Amino acid sequence: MGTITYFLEGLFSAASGMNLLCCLAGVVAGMLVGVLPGLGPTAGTALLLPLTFGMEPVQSIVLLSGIYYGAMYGGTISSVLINTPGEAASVITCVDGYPMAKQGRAGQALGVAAIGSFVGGIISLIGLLILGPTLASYALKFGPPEFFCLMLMGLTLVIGLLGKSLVKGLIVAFLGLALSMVGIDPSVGTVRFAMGNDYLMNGIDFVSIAMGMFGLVEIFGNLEGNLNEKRTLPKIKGLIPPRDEWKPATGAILRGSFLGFFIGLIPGTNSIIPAVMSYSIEKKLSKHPERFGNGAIEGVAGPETANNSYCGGAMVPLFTLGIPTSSVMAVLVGAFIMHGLTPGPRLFSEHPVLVWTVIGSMFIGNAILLFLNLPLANVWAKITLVPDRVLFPIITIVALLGVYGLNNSMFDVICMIIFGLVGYLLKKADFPLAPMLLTFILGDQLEYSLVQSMTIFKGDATQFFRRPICAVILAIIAVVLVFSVLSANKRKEILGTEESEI
Amino acid sequence: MEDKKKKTWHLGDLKISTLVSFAMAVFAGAYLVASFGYQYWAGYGPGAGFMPRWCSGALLALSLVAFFQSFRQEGMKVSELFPSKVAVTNLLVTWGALVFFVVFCKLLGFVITTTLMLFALFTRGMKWKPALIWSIAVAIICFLLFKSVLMVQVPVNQFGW
Repeated sequence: MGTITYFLEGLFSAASGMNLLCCLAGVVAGMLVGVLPGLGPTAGTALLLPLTFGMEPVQSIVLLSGIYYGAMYGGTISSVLINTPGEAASVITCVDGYPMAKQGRAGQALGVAAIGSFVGGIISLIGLLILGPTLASYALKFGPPEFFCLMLMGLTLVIGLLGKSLVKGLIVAFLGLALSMVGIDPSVGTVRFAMGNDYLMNGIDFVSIAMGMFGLVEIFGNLEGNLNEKRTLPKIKGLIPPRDEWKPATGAILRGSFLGFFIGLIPGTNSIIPAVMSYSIEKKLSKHPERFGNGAIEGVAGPETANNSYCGGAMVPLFTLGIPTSSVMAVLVGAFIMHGLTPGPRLFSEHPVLVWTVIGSMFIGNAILLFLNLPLANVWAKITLVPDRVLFPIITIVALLGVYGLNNSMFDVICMIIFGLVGYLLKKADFPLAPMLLTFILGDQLEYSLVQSMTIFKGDATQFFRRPICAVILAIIAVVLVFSVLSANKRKEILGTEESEI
Repeated sequence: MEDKKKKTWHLGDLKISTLVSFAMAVFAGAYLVASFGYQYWAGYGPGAGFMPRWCSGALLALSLVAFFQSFRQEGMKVSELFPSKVAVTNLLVTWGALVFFVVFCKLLGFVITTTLMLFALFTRGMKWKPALIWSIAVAIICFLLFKSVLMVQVPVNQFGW
């Protein structure tokens, strides 16, 4: 069967019964996560991951993916209306979105962002349709050494590009790897580092780490602020921009779509990068750059399109190579593993229904989001008014219940709290958290492929350099490491001092 | 004399990254020692101790680098850990509530423990009467939603709630 046939089958499957309901639930939850300041898509997916445990794998992945791209849409609303980004990728939207709202053009800003997000989302999904199966069939030829090098490259890119310091990135990455080794060894079955604890024999649950490091850490961070902050909303009217703004907005949307998709393919990037790049490209291309910062429509259309388009691009390495390129993707890998599936090149051949249904659901989800955003913008806007003093205690309880329900065990809850506190301290000490989650989730596969490779090589590690694909990947790793050391200061200037969550 | 007084060292002057790096080095050291208890090389290839030894060795080396780097790099000090007194209280109440949940949930059951825990959290931002109403309502709704609708296991007391 060809790609088109598979895709149509996936689309029909996604549009049927429970799959459609999960897609709807996912995008609505994603919108909520995006709209509410202080909650990002990683925390959102991590918090809701345990609730998907009892679902069919396909429904679980459809729902969690929905949260991811839904959050990108939702983040715009709080950026434009209250000048507070709902999620990190919408930071740049505040620059022109909020001035537009102050000029009484909040509706136009939200309208163009929703249309741009939809176009970006669809274009990147078409890219995923074209690239995904081709890349997966090529990756099927890879052996354990190639996969080991590939995973190493993915991790190196994440560590090298995220955060302020390469050393700190490497430390948390090795910490994640060390924690992944607790429990039964994947190659020989030896129980390691369990310290006689029955719970630790099965290893530390990924969900405890994800919810602690991303869910609780965000809650703790928000508790430092003013819980009684009052927010006011500007009026939203007229969602379609005036005719004279159609041309610049269309150009910004198209450029943002391709930019976001291609940046999404690169492990270690995050959705802030294409958004910021899109903003600066639009400003450079504009005949009146002085309008930027004062309510230029391209300043909203470009970045919002780029951060949505990024989501589709980021799915390509996950589906085809099994490499999560960011912390949200790591949570998705966790969901795959939780349901006994291994993301990677075999996914397309062994579980075509799942892959194509998820892709199909993303098309449907984007259409639902367009509908949710355009006529219902006022309803979502009201949600930004939910005060933190009500929101965070409820999220805390949902987190506790979610993690407890996984294994009916208080041990997992204790682990989550410990990781929440550790994550809080790590964040205060400027350690990036994403690499830890990524190495933890890839730890078993990384170790297993290394053991397989070393067994094939009869202990001679130099053979890695004699295999052409491995040699090329290892060379890229070396370049990335050198680049990250040399460009540390420049990166701080470009990306700011905050670690991106996504 | 005055200069000497100014240079008096306090724990609050220590950088958080120094403390974290030190703790990481201790963890890595302990992990490395424990990893020697596993076979490094089996007849056919790497054994159960191979990855742990390399991983903890690298973690130890990097933690020491970060520890020494932290002295000359800028970073948040222990005294700056909490931005305000309100933040300290909010966080301490939340952490205390989490510990309370872990310790008492199996004994008191979900509904009572959650109501008490939420009451402590809600009173950080609202008066006690609305806080109590919110706590009871959220605890009962969560219980019914998770147990009956989402079929998620909920910690309960001997009465089943």
